[in-house]
Amino acid sequence: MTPLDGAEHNAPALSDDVGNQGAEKSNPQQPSTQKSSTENPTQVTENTRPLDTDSLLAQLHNRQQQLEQGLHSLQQLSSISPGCSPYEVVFELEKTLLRYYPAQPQGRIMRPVFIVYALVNRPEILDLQPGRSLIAELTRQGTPVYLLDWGSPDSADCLLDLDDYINHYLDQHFSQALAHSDRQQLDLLGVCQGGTFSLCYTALQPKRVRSLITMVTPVDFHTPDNRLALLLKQLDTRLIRHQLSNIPGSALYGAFKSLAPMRQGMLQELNLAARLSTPQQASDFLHTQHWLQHSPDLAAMAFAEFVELFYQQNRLVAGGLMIGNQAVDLQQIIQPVLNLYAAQDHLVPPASSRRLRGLTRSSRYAERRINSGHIGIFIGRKPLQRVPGLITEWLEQEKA
Amino acid sequence: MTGKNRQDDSQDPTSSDFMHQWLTSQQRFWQTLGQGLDTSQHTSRQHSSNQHSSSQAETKTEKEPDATAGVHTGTHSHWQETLIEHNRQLTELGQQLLEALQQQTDQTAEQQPPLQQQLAELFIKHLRRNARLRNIDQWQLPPAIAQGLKNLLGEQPLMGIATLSRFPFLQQALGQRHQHYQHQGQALLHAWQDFTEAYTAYSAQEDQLFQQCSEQFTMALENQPLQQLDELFQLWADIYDRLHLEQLENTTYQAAYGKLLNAALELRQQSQSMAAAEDYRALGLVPLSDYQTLLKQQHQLRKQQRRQQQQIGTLEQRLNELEQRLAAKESDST
Repeated sequence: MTPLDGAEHNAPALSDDVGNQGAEKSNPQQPSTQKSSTENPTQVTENTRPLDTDSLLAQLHNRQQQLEQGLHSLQQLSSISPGCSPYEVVFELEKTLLRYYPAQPQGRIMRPVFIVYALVNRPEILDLQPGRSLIAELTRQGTPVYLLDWGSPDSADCLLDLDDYINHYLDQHFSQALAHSDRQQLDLLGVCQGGTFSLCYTALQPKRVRSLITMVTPVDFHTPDNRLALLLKQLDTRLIRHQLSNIPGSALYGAFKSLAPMRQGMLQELNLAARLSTPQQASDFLHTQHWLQHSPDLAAMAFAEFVELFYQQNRLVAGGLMIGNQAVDLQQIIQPVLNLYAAQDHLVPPASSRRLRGLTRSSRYAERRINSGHIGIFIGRKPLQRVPGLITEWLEQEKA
Repeated sequence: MTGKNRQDDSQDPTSSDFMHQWLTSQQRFWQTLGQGLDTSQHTSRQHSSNQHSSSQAETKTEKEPDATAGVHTGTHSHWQETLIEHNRQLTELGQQLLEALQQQTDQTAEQQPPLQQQLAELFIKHLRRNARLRNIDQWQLPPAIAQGLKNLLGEQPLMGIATLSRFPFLQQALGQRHQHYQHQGQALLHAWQDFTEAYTAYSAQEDQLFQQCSEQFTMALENQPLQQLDELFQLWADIYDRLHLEQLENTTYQAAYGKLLNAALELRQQSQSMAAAEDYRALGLVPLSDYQTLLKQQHQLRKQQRRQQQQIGTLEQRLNELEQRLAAKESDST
């Protein structure tokens, strides 16, 4: 499971909303070679005649200038460190932390929301940098945030399983957040794999969760367009269980990249200089890259279990899901549910998220389509203008 | 905790100077090329410069300042290197395309193969070369496995471990387990063979995809006049990723991919169990198997402790309720 956004690394012409204003992505099924110069700033604008030596030279020269600009932009940047909102750590349990981001002082303070992120990648994507932070927007709109930081497992954690993550860590941190906020219930927001965990937790502890928001959350792992499921179908998880070696974050990053090899590889390199043309653009790009390339390793047992139960057996839909010795039944979820999915998500296809409708007993189920990719929903300029407001408004509405 | 972008004003002047010189030399190259396409003298210079960009270890052949050395010293050297390396590849391709275009204008129509076809061929050749390099890099064996195989394929499989110590009793202890190593060596060799077979089968799938993509790319290019260099890349990416998606849905590909993953995991497992636990102990080290046994025990204890804590919590809660009820009864009776 994972957060790698295909379009994130693409040419500006191909980008979704990731730092690029939420334009619809080109359809990879349809070859599109006739891009206008306004669509792609990397192209030489004056050139519309067939390729000849002069125009090719001009284009190569143009590339050279972009390279120069890119190198200068890089020279002007200091080191990158994701994260921009102030927070305090209110609870620690082994390697896991509970971060508390207070609401910004101006305006009214709303109920806090408890965010569960995926085990894959770091939760910093939710608070990447100024202007690209879902958490900053939520707190600015008056919603305090609790964020469960899973930490980075090392070899001593290779036996941690889903029971540990959901029934122990998540449960303990949730209890602490309840105590810290002096409440009996909290609104739970699960992101990606964290959304799957949140569904399990809400089903297991329905009295503690006031309402549930899922973002880009895989529910049905067997939709025909789930490419990761196709690749993981034949993985022999017994080998992982037997070896007890954690799965390197870099290996997962490579696997996600391989889903769209040309877009993630060749085109990314082709447009690299254009992405670095100003220090601000370079900073945006490097923040995202830093986040992508600093994925924590995954505990071997939890990874094997997740692949088996969800990717291979599709237990949320097929039924019979057990976390530890507890049965997970989505029918136990009766609280309001808001399901946010990304229209151009190639890692968690919309159909996979939307399958949630009808699996719970919630009488107040709503879903919203966000025009973005898997990562763009958190850091894209346009989604960030819409998503935090949508969440706070829905929470307010459900309060009423 | 805050993450803040800062503009670093204290740049290394040497680094900037070198970069500037390198860029100037690049621009000179393109200007010269633009004026007459006589690149013979400058081409070597360009290649030389670019090669130095991607490898600091190389020795310079020309007496000029090392114009790229400073590029590596910056904070984001990885991206600088990527930019420069990509520029080198693009320059190489650009030169080949320019030569093809130049030949078109020099030759008569009868002598010419279709231009679009030539461009397609050059581009595919360029990609294939770079893809091969990437594949080799991507599938490089982990050092531990490579070393294990090296020892195994040599005549003295114990040498690697035995040379760790000069104590004769250790040599003797290791020698006594020769049979174990032979058995493990065979298992590792078998795993290696499985891996290479799986890799070959997977590569065949990749080659097939590349071939299909090349054909469709060439056809698509014949049907539309090329205007931009970027279009070559864009067209290729569109076709390749579309075919790749189709391939993912193919059960033969899925089987090949799964087999490769599992073979790699199996190979890792065999390499981990190459040395016997007794040998580690003899060397004063903790064997992996002992460590894993301890981890499992600790994990079970953690779970047990958690269950007990939950029971204690439930009992405490029950006790509180009873105390409250008792207190309420007492206050009622008084």
